[in-house]
Amino acid sequence: MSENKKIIVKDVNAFYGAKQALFDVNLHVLEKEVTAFIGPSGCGKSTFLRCLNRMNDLIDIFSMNGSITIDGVEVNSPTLDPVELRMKVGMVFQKPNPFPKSIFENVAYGLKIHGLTSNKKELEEIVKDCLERVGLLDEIKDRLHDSAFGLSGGQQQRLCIARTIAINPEIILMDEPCSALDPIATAKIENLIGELSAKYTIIIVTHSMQQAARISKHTAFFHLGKLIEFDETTKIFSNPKNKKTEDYITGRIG
Amino acid sequence: MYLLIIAVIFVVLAGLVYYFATKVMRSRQTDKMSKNYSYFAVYVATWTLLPSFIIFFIGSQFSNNLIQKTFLSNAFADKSEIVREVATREVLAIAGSIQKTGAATVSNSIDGIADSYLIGLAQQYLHYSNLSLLGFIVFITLLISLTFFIIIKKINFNSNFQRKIEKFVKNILLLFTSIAVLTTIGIVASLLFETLKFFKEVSIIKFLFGTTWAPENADFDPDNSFGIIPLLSGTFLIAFISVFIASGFGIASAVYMSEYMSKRMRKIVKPIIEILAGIPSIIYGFFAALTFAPFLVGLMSSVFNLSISSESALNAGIVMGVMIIPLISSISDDILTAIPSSMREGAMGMGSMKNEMIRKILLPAALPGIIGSILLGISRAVGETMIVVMAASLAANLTFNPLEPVTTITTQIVMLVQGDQEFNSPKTLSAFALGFVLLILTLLLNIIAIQIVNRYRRKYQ
Repeated sequence: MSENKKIIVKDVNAFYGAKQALFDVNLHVLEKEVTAFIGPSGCGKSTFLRCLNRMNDLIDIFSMNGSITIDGVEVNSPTLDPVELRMKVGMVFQKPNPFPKSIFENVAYGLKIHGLTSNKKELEEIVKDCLERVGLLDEIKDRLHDSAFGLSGGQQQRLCIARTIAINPEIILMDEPCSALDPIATAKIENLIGELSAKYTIIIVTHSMQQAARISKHTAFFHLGKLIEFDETTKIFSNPKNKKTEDYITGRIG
Repeated sequence: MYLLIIAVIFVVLAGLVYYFATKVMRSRQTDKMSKNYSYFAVYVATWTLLPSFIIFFIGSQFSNNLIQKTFLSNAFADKSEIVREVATREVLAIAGSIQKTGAATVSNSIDGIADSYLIGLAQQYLHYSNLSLLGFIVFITLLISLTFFIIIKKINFNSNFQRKIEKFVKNILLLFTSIAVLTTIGIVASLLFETLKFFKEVSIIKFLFGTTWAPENADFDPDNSFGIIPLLSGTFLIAFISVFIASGFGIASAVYMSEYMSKRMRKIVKPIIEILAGIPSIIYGFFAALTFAPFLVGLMSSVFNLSISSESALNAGIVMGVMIIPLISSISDDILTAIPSSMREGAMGMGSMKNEMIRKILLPAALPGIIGSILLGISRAVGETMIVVMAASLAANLTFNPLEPVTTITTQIVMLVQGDQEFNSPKTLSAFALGFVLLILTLLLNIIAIQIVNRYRRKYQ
């Protein structure tokens, strides 16, 4: 296991208009490891996650300061093209959001727009490989060209993961990927995250402390826009240093 | 005056019935605060007055008719039927003038009948009808008293009158609703009957497939003068030009409004575009005929060296297109905005450029709805009248050349029913047949379009 710091975050403050959403966040994420962000609703963990691939650019009133570097490159640098950044930092959302296209086209979309392959046969191979890796290929072999809306919620979410890994990112951000799913679908996604962590750096925002405990190596606890505690997951859950963290994981606040 | 008297009498009677009903209820009920009182009174008043009112309404019509039929027909018994009819109408007119102004004025003298005789008849007629009215009033008052006593005798004082009134009001509302619906059905039915009358004179096959439209020849060759094909081709030529223009501008502005414009700007700009939809089409009409047509003729001859008629399909089509832009732009914008933002985030999260997201995700997703809006636009263009009456030609040319003059179904309907027309000539009746075709066309287009738009809206809900 490398101890390479993939993402380094220094003194990040974020604002929606005049309202401050994040206060002086300092953090680092290790390469090829699962890092979990936990905390009560509205604590800023999703906002922070979206800073990492500049998805907040889409919100007019959003602004931030501080520094976020990925592999030593400043994310907010004006010379960095957000399109390139998002190719490198893929994202999976809370609610499964497949495109209104066929299952095949959903996975092929990223490959096509980024021109990652021009060969039809190669395209097909990559798409099938991605579906295979998320354990979807066997389930939908005969329905490859049916609408993605026909899949179950869990299948749709795995399709969204397949779509993300198809463009071969280095980092995958997951914003509560299981909150709209049933326990069995959740278990499948959690296993998948475990497998993917061998190859990708994964950051997952979750409401479920058990989930964070099960799948992550490091955990960050956010409360009211502040990063309260950041440590190895086992330490956070067995021996939290901060009183607030203890209160949250024992269910006293949240 | 007459109506006012009747209305006053009914209001007074209603008040009396209400008053007595309250009295009766007070004497029966110990619970003086009960809300049931007034409901009881309204209930009794309604059921007391309603039958009398209906009887009065039908009876007065009937009695006037009876007086006219017997008394006036007898007076002109020795005259021919046509004279009898005209004379009867004149007597009624004189009676009307006496009622209104007090003076008897004869506007049309009739050969062989002295004016004084007509005036005498009119006075007599008024006398009879006043007598019958008086009789009615007495009869109705008696009837109302009678029903009132019967109802008071038979009614169960312990019922919930509030609920009964509510049911009654519900039925009244139902009645009004059904009147609106029935009126529509009635209009369609009358259109259908007149159309059928037309098809008795002109073969339906020749009408639907004939390629010559020349109603001016109807008198000597009715079967070959009413071919709808040139009108259909003209209508759809203009409709397609307009929808071609409107969908281009409409979809482009919808994409800009929903994807690029800030929310604040959109709140200002969208209503402005929708105001365009409220401009009366006659204004577009004279814009097309007086401003745009000369400009287009000049442009075509100087830039493209083409000669174009000032009443060309292109001229009417372009202006109509401008009129339809708001329709298509507004619906398409609604449909694009209805696509959940998670779809946009998904596309952006994959590293799409904005234009890739719009072209590859949003527009394909919105396509059914956009097609629906275009169909609605076609339907609007097919039924549009004022622009084509002013800017399109009257010549029924069978052509697909947009530079030539063409005519449309709506223009021809206007021409056919303008001025003095015989009601039963094939020429007038053909307007109904055209109207019927137009109705079916727009109905079909609307049904299909609304189906598509609704199915699309449901998909994401």
